[in-house]
Amino acid sequence: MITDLFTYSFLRYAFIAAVVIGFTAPLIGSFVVVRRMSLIADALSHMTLAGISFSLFLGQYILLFSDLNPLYLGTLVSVLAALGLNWLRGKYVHFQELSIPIMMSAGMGLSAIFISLSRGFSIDLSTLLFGSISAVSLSDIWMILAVAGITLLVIIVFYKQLLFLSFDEEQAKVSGLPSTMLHVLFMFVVALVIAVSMRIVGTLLVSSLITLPVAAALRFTNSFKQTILWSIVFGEVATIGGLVLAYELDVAPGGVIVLLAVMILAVVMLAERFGLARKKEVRYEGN
Amino acid sequence: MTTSVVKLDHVSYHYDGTAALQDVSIDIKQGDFVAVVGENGSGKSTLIRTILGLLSPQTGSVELFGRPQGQFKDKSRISYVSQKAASFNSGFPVTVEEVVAMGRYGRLGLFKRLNIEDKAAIQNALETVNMWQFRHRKIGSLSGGQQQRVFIARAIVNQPDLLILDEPTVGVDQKHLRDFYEVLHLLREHTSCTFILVTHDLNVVTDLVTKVVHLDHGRMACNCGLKEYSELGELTAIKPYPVKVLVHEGTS
Repeated sequence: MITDLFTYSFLRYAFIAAVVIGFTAPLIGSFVVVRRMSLIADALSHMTLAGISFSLFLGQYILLFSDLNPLYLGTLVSVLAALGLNWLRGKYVHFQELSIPIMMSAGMGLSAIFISLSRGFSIDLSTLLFGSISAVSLSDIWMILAVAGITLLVIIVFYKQLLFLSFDEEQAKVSGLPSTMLHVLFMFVVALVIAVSMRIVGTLLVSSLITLPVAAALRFTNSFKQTILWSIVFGEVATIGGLVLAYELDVAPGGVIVLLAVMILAVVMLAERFGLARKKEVRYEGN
Repeated sequence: MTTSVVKLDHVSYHYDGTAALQDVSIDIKQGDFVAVVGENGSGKSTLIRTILGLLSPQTGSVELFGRPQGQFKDKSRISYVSQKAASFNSGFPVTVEEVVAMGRYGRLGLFKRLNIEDKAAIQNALETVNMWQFRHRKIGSLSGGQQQRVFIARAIVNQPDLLILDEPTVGVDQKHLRDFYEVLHLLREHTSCTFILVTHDLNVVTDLVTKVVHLDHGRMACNCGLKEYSELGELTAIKPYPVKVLVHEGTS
């Protein structure tokens, strides 16, 4: 594959995308998981699919959209959906999880309509659902890099505030942190990361890349910084390893990447079982 | 003249038409140790959340350190330990030191990292509650009493002028309850902080309390000194238990 990397530009793009997404998705995923918002990634990825299929549908009738990267509209819809989720959570204070199936159903419904209305897309449906190595274009790469830059900047600048908000929202508010602004900013970044990650892993598997590496890291880490670090390591192993295997086996990268992430989780749990990784600490009852 | 720390003037708050606080007026002075008592649903937590600015009263006004609540910006002067503190997600990957550091985050600006002064304050707070040796431990791996100490360390890390504790011992067993009150005595001895403690068990803090606020269905049934409170026969019906005043000089 290494020689092919130098020969084929699409492979280089896919590799760059995998490395950047393997870093960005678990980075933001660490906050998503500890805030117990794992399923939000699914809702947003379905809305991204709606945006992409809408863009492809428009592309058949309007010249402007036929040349436009469908990921742009997908990302815009993902961001709007994130704001919509926030609004719905406020409307169902005691049943906040309801916002997820509402948004996910809306996304799938819209996608089904736009796909059925179209006379056949330029990229096939399995690419949208499970990702593709050849689907990553140069404009996708620029977008993925821009989103990674925004994500990194937001995490560096607001790390302390986001951690406090994730651990104890009420205390964070009492301390004077602008919790609403931080939450909206966080949802905005999550929406961006999910939208750009779709190119590699697809709609149905993008939430796995956000959550599985963090799930493995949570098994043995004590501090939040350790959790982020190990999540990124696992994310990179899964994305790079998955991409190489997908290329060699000629299968959709999304499936292989996610299965690798599941295997990493299984290995960590086995290591824990046999005492190689630190098991959850026993409660200390002394003084 | 002693400075007013918290002043509520005819404050009322309603949840969907149900009165949680009705015409409550309180003036808490610097150095006071105020116990807020009353049955479940009497409005104790609503009172605390109103003081903290988490709820805005429909009528009346709240002043903190002589300023209207909306204009009071120095939030680091107030610390809060909620009854929900102990019910956090125990799987959260965060160390004791990271939890206490959160207490400093409100006063840190963007891009700023914890400096030597912040780190010294964290160490000092953890040493005060005798938890410094556990600083690298995951908070969820500690016992309930130890977790409670850590949350108190987070509350005192800024050396606040006002410490508000809303039933902080909910779910804590008897042994760790004693530990908690020891820490409270320690803080009372070594700081000039003003305390507001919401409690169901006034008897265990009678040697600390200077003022009792008793709420009954959102109304203030009593706002007086401890001795006076214990002698109020007509209040016995709404008092959950008889209050025994221990040694008290100048606490009424």
